[in-house]
Amino acid sequence: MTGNSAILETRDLVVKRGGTTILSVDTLALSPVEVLSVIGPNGAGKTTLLQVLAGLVRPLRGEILFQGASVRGESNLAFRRRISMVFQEPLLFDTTVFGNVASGLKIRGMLRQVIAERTTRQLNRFGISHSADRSAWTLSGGEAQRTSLARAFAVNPEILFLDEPFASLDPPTW
Amino acid sequence: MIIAQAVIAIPIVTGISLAAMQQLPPRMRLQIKALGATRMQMLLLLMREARLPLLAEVMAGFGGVISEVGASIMVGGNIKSCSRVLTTATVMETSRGNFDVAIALSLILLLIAYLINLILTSIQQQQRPR
Repeated sequence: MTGNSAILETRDLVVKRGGTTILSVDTLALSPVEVLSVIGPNGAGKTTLLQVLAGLVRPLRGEILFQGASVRGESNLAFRRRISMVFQEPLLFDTTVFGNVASGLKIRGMLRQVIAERTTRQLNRFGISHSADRSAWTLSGGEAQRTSLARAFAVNPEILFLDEPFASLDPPTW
Repeated sequence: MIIAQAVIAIPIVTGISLAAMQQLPPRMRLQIKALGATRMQMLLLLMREARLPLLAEVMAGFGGVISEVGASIMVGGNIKSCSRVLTTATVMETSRGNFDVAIALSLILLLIAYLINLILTSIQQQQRPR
């Protein structure tokens, strides 16, 4: 969908790597509360698209608008602090599970009490509160991915980008 | 003399730092960015993630500098109470034929080097993920 109601819009996105065009999207628009699934074969550029939409990779050409404003330059940081992304691999920090879930909140400079409250809520939500003090490096694949998801949800993102994060989770987990 | 020692240590430290940063998962940088980090926050987080190899780098740099003698003599001149260090003093005492003093000085140097490496290794091993 397009128009003023879109929370995120793109125009003429082109991403090239090594001289090869790996992504070309004319227009894309996301409305609030919309759930959009991107399906395609390996190498279709799904991950690249998510990384570009999340402001992590700069496109060669094109524009990304968040609530009507471009996310280039200085506004990129403000945009990144309103979204969250979970990757295929958990990419946890070398600290405790609690420390990992709290990391996005610490980066945003939130008060310690708010961090503790929000982190605990997400630990309970994802069923990993019993592992809060464990080193993230001792977790199983599924536990690590749940920690990664909890970290993404802890910052209350307005847009959540999920790049196949459920690959390591068994069906009863989610 | 400090500058000369730094020049000697920089290639060792830079090489190991680069290797330390490169051993992190390639997408870690993107993950930190996705968490809303500024450039400085990203650098600090990456350094924290690579702290064990970075500590090894400190040890290697220290080892290279503390055992160095050529640059200390060339730049510092081995002036008493000014630029004389353990390595240059050891060389001087050896050339004078005062082997007992030279051995004592080299033992002190070895002891300092071992102690500092022991402390840094202990810190490094405590930090290792269990």
